[in-house]
Amino acid sequence: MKPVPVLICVSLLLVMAGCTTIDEHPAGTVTFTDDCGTTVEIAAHVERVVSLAPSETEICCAVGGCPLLVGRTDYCTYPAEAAAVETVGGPRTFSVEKVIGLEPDLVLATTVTDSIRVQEIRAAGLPVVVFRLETIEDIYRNIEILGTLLGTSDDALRLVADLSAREAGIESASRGGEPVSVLYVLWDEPLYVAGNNTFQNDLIVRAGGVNIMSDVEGYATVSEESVVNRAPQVIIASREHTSGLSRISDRLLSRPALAEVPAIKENRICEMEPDLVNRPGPRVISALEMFSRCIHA
Amino acid sequence: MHTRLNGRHVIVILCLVLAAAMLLGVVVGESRISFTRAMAIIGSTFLPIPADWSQSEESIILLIRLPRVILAALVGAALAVCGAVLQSLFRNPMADPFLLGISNGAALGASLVLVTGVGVGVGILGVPLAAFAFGLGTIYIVYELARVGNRVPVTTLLLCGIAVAAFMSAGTSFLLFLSGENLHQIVFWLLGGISGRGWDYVLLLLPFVIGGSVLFFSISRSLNALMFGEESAQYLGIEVESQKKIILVAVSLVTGAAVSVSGIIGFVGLITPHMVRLWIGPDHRILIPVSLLFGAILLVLADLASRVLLAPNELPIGIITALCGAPFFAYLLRRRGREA
Amino acid sequence: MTIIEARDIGFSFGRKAVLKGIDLDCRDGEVLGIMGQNGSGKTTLLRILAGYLQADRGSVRYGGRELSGMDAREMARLRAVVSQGVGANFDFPVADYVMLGRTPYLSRFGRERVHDYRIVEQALGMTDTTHLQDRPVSRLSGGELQRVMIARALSQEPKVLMLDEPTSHLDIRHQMEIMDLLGDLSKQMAVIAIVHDLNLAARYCGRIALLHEGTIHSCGPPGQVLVPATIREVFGVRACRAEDPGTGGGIFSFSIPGPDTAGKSRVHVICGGGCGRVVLHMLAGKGYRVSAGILNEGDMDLEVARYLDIPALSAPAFSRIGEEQARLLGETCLEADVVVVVAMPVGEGNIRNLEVAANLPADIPVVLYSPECTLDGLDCINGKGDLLYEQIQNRGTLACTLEELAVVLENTGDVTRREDTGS
Repeated sequence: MKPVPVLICVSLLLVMAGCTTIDEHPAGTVTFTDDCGTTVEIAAHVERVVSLAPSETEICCAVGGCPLLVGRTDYCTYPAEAAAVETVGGPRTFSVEKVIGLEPDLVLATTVTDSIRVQEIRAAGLPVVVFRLETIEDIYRNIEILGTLLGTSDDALRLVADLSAREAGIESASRGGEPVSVLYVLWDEPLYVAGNNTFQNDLIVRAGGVNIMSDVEGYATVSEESVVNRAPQVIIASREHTSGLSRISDRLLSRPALAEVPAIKENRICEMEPDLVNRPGPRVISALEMFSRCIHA
Repeated sequence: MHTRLNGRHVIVILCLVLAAAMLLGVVVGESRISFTRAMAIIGSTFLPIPADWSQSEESIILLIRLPRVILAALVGAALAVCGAVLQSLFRNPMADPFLLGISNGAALGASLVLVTGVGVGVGILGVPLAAFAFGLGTIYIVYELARVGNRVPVTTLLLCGIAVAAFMSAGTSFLLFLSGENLHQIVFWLLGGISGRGWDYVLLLLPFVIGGSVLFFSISRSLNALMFGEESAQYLGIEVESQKKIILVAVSLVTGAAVSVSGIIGFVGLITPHMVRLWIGPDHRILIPVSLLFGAILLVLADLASRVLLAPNELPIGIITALCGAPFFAYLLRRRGREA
Repeated sequence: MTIIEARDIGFSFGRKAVLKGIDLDCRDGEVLGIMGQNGSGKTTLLRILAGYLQADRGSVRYGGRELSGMDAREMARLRAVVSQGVGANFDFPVADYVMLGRTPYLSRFGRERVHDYRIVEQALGMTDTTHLQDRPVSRLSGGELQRVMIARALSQEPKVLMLDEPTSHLDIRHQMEIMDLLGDLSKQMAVIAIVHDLNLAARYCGRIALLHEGTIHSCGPPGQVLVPATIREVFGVRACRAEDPGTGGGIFSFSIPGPDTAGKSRVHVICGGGCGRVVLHMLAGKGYRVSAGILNEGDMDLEVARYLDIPALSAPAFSRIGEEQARLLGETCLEADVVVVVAMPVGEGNIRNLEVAANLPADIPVVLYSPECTLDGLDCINGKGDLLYEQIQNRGTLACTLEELAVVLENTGDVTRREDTGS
């Protein structure tokens, strides 16, 4: 996902990208500089965590921090243990009062989280750590940092090692073969697809595919004609959250105008759990595996 | 001095322009298919022409461009003709087909389906059917609210329309708020568009546009009389209240059908009739057919622009209609202002 | 022949009864004027007669047929209505506008036939608007638009033509042209018009139905209906009827009845020969308790005094003022707070007026009003008159304009009142 960068964040990142630091103090607190360059004082033994982003919730749980979670957003539905935690609202519409009321000693946010609300929480004296998640490497780093902050460094390092091994495996397997043309469809009416500089594009390329819409910047609506004309061999589509509608792959398959597209003709169309690719969390490697399986089927 | 153009000539010329615009729409696109080949592909549907083109080219012409161009023409015609009729009925230059909240109702219906997923089984037509039903329902509510005994005062109707429309759009906004990750689906619907709709939608809209146009043309004399007020029209032997009901029902059906297939495409229904009036005068016997043709031409060209300008990106068509039409309309008004 | 019979029409807007028990007939060959104050229900009545509004009770029959049983199309062939202030903001050509009048005769898809064009042509001709036929209705002047609207109504070939204030917003010439046109049209059809101008109505209407408080106050020829007493009752104005030298008919002038006279000073005006009219009007208008005389019967001043309800001492026409009358005048003057003498030609007949004025006791203020500011040339009896005027001028005040007179009276009145309270 391409996050909505906060202005301050962007300017600071130019200087500080990747130089997140943790200093331990004897007084039982650690000073931590987050991805936005804000210095935060955090208790050495964090006991109550509120996550303001689904990806942070997933990472937190992946490093064994699930029992510490006391608050989450409406969209933090994975893993199942997290879903049982009390919610504070949507990622951009959550209640600041509720967050403060939960008395967390650590609040996790991303650059997509509403920055005004983040300011409010900080003003109330609570430590908020903001992560920037744009690439797979960002995710690894996030996992490691969270492991340190929550005191589960070993789990975190093991997880990163595991994920990067899986990633390397996929990338090496896809190397050398004939490139496969791929289209990633987020919504079918109108055709809303992933172009260049998107997480999906990144995954397609890492999985050894070629995005047929790489000349389009970001996410865009395109005509059916351009799809027919560019004849993708594989289509990957986001499964919508709505349960009632017919499946997006069925709709695409039954669309007469697209009948001549090779991917449709040969039924090489996969559905992706959108959370897998939309959330830059530990499951992104699972997404990459699915992309790879789909592309090299 | 007001120059009167011969109505029949204007109509014949516009038919030719529409045909040319539609041809252009069929020929121009991302994949380069020559004019003769495009014509041959179309011709092959009813003539025995040997196919020297690929299957993809055939789908692009017959299944993508052709239905799309026809749908653009139908939606443009429907919105323009309904706008013309409502402006006269309400004697209000600000009237457009969405005036009484039909689009707001339709948006709520579509959003409900998109968010909750109700309407399983109707398949691909779930959203348009819900939009259609909610659009008509909205008009019905507005009408019943405004009705005083047997009469429906136009001003009350307008005000009720505003109130109900506000309520409906609040509902849509609430759904947008709740929709979370379905947000973009609703936003796309609200932006309006005729991209990727196919023949199903053409067949859905066609009977409404034909039926509506015939009806509106048949009451063009009444509409002429109604321009000068309801009382005056009644004195000329027009059953104003029943006529009003017929017009409202017809406009609702046609607009509802157009909105349900294309979402909310603004501007065409508001501005086209004005342009036509400035050009050929307010006589509905010409205004109705000319608005119809003009609206069709405008939307076919707007659709063409929407897919060519930033290809392979597609712009929402409503942006094109407003960006090009509004300044042109302002120019027409200024020019007329100087003449007067 | 009676074309419309309205019987016992009742109509209410909500709880407010607008019309109560109206009976009205409308006949061929006449202009029936509907008159009444604003809000008296004229337009409502017209709309009921035209079938636009449905009366709560009573019936309207056209040639014996119940109106409520007809559809709009049928009605439109029987009656045409020229409403007030039709918004014609469109560039609709006049010829097409008039052709709209053919609507009740044309079928849904039917085109206009030669016959329809001929009717439109005639309608344009009758209303003298043929030259306007290519102009858009939005660019017509008020008078032109009114004619074009009548032309449209005529192209309906109606038996009854109804008009709601066809002359409002028009200048006088166009008003008269429209009323003349209605007079001509009434030879072919019945014409009903709501008219505001009483003089216009008196001149052009065959009959007038006067609406007052939701009922027909009176209905009949203008000479019977438009009489000062009725006008005062219905419109709340004083009407003075004079003969119109042009037509020989009556012509009204109107004034608002004077304000409350209680507490105002009493003024006696000695005048005659029409010289005192303006003074009487002015004083009555300002609310003074005015008396006048002595005036001979037939004197214009006496008529004005009676019209203004001013008590006047009178003498028979062309007679000399007698001893007894002079005594009465003296007594009246003694009761007045101020006596105003209007400069007028003086002869044997009215010399007594001046004599009384000249010999009034010194404590009665006398004002001499001479609009020309001179007393020359008024004497018709060898200096006797001049002498009396001189005496009056010497003991009183001279006012040369109405404004001056008003100021003098105001001051004198104050003085008098102050003395009254002092004593």
